[in-house]
Amino acid sequence: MTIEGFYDPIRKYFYILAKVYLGGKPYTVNLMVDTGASITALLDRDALRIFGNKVSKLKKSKRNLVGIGGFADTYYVENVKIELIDSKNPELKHTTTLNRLYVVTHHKHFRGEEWKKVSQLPSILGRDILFKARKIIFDFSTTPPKLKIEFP
Amino acid sequence: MWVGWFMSKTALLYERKSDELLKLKGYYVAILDGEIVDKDKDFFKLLQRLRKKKVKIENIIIDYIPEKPVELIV
Repeated sequence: MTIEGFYDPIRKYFYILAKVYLGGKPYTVNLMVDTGASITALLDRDALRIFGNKVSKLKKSKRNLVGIGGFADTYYVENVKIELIDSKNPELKHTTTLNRLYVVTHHKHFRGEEWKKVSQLPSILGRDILFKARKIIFDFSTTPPKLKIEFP
Repeated sequence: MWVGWFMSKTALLYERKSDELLKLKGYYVAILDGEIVDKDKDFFKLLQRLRKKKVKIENIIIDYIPEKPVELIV
């Protein structure tokens, strides 16, 4: 099965549309494809939208994750179902489960303009999901460029 | 919600109608089914307003359109 992403020409990011199931509810998120990230994580905007003040009640991660400027509060949720949705055909979905979905926030450490910079960062689709793929194609021969992820 | 044959409205907004987003530099924008439904320069005010409106927050994506994008180097 091949899932197609979409391209954000403003920031030059490739995204995959996804539904993340938390507490039985599906939350829509745009996940930026990040082959440099070892894990998939919800960052500030999605974390605060989804968990609100309860974000600090999540399980605290002991894993050493480097955030912006070294300041990040890292939590996790266990056994999270994620549907990756094809941007052209909504019927096409690849479902995967993460033992741990990380939730990374910076909002306690940054204010004002610094927070604006930090909160630009989108949630990320990392190698814990990407390495389940058989093939990943970034195609720059088209406008806009295309991303296709083929899962077994 | 999906349109045409076929592209999600969200993908359409980013890929084909990014000029709509570019008009909102410096704003946090709330996107529902590919439509911009609210905006604010303050993320927390926007989030609070969305919660008060009792919209389905799970379906809304909040993006920030930077005046100057940060370089992501890691």
